[in-house]
Amino acid sequence: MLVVRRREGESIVIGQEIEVVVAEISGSTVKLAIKAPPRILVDRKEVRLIRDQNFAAAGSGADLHRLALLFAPKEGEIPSRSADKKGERP
Amino acid sequence: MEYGADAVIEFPQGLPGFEDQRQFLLIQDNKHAPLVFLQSVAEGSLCFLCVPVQIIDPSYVAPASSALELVGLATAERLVRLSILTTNGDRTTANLRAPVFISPNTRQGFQVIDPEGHYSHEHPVEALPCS
Repeated sequence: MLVVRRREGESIVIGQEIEVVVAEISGSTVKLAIKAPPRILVDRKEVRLIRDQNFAAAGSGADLHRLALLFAPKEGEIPSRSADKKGERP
Repeated sequence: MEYGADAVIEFPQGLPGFEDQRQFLLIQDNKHAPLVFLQSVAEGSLCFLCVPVQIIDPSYVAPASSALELVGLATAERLVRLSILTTNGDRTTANLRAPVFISPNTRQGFQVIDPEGHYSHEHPVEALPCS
């Protein structure tokens, strides 16, 4: 991994088309400006992670009954939901 | 499928990867409880399977209020918090890193990504007892 030290206003270039500028340094945060062609998708890493997860979720053909059973009370267990106190009063 | 206008949840920013999907229906049916369906209004084939976050993790703590305020959710409000499920073969995971928060008052929804990453986007779902 390449590690470089940069000051505010300085930049690095990646390949022929991408430039990352250190736009602002303030406390513990760094504001980066990224110049890249539109076909290069630039994301915050956590957004990319969730985007990919959403794609996976949207494409997963789940068996609803099996899935619902995952959350169903185990056999012999009394589901706490049905223990409705209002119903117990005579 | 028929539904009233009041069943529609507006997602002003869509969801990551589905930024153009701005309206979803929140569908619950007893047969599949506690599953909740987040069905896109515009795209019939797009439906996210969710469960309330507290079913996956009863001790779940929502991301810092700043993250919620950033997307326009009042932190004092009682928000519906859903975790999107992903099923791959026999394995089902729940996205706790980025739950879907829905305000019953404004009927707006946002998928809020916890920048701190305290929770996993692929939290394994075992056979959990109903809580």
